[in-house]
Amino acid sequence: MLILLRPAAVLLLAVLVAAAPSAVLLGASLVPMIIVQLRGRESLRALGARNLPILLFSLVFTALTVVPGEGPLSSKGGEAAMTVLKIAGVYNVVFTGGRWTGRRRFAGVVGHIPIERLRVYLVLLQAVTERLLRNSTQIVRQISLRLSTSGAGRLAVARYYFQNMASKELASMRHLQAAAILRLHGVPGSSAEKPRPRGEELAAFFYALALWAFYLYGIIA
Amino acid sequence: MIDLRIKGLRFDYPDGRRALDGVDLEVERGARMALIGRNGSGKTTLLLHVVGLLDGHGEIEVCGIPMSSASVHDIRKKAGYLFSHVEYQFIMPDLLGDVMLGCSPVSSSPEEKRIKAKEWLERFGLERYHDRSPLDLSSGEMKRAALAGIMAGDAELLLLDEPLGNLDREGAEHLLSVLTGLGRTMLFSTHRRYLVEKAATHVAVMARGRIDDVVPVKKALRSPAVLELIY
Ligand SMILES: Nc1ncnc2c1ncn2[C@@H]1O[C@H](COP(=O)(O)OP(=O)(O)OP(=O)(O)O)[C@@H](O)[C@H]1O
Ligand SMILES: [Mg+2]
Repeated sequence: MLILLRPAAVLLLAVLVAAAPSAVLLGASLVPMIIVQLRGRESLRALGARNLPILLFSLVFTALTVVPGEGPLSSKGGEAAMTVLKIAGVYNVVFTGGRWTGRRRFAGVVGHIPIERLRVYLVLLQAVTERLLRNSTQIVRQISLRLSTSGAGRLAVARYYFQNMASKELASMRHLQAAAILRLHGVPGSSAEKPRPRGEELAAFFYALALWAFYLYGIIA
Repeated sequence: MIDLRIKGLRFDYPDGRRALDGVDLEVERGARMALIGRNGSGKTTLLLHVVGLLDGHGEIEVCGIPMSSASVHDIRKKAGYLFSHVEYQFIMPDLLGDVMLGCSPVSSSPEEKRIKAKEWLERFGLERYHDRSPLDLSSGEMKRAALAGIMAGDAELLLLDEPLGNLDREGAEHLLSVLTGLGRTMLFSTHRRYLVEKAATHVAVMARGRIDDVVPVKKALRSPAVLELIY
């Protein structure tokens, strides 16, 4: 069960970020992952680069919800800003939390799921997602080498990106499917040994629980 | 004892292109057969048939089991396949988990599987990488990691599609010493003279979807027709 502590803490925090009605609670939910992030060695630049697409996405997304709205724009503006923050917040909690949790532990958590089909599904989903992310970086690199990425060039990049991504993804899934057919005789289990509990995951877990309690009992609005 | 027997195998891709045009081949237990031939001669297509990923007309028998839809699962347990795009071989997020996934028997406990997987990783010089994503490894390490996963499944027949890929000299030497030390029957496609010289016991020459000739490696390395196909 200890193996579930870290992922549980991350999940609790991520859901809290999404549910948080106020900036205070939102900020408080981010604290543990900010600490984890600070202890890691990711440069500010890398952090920015990784957040740029998701910020752009959430800006476009929320702009769409604001524009056709009736009533004063100012009140809507505040809400929209919260939505942007929340989307970026959840993304970062999941991403940083995922790193903190680690590959083995992810596999360990999946290995605990008692339903065989779900386990196979999750393992394959993880494999496809990981390749999607890797393909994505490679494609962006290739395309930006070949096309100028300014002004109208960007539209072309976007078009080629999606085409390229889709065909790469199809090829990748075909290969992965072949590998799965050949290799999945058994049921994927976990390679993780019994983890030793560490202070940090207990702390993060109870911090998340406490925030939830505060939120539910209305102590922090 | 014959580990692989193929008779009259024909296959057309869905677009109508004939890729195999009556392949006959026998590989004896313990033999390491190099499958050579120009690009597009049908090597990969042939290898895919042996594990039942493609389904042409003809007879295939692996370790005494005739290929059929009922027996294909048993055949896949006996035959290990190394993809030429080896990065697609990996399924689990961490290397140790991935090798454990291939461990047989399927019924053994996680603890037994872990020990076995660790032994294979050590044998392939990868004991430091248990936690890493297989996709983060270098191409040489990736080939070895994939092989560790195959070997953990006690494969008796190894099918290797371009096993050297773009390995450097040292990586190739390491892989070869591991491969030849395994004592398994092998059928591998390659364009590399180095691999044929160091690892093969026999050479099968493929052209336009057929196997023209199978010869012992010593004789093959004196044949101009063979030397034209490898470098
Ligand atoms: N998915 C496919 N659909 C249609 N035709 C294909 C497909 N895959 C391969 N072919 C064709 O079948 C023929 C044999 O291909 P195959 O991949 O087996 O060659 P190969 O000997 O492995 O070549 P290489 O040395 O380049 O790896 C080629 O003419 C190829 O164009
Ligand atoms: Mg090929």
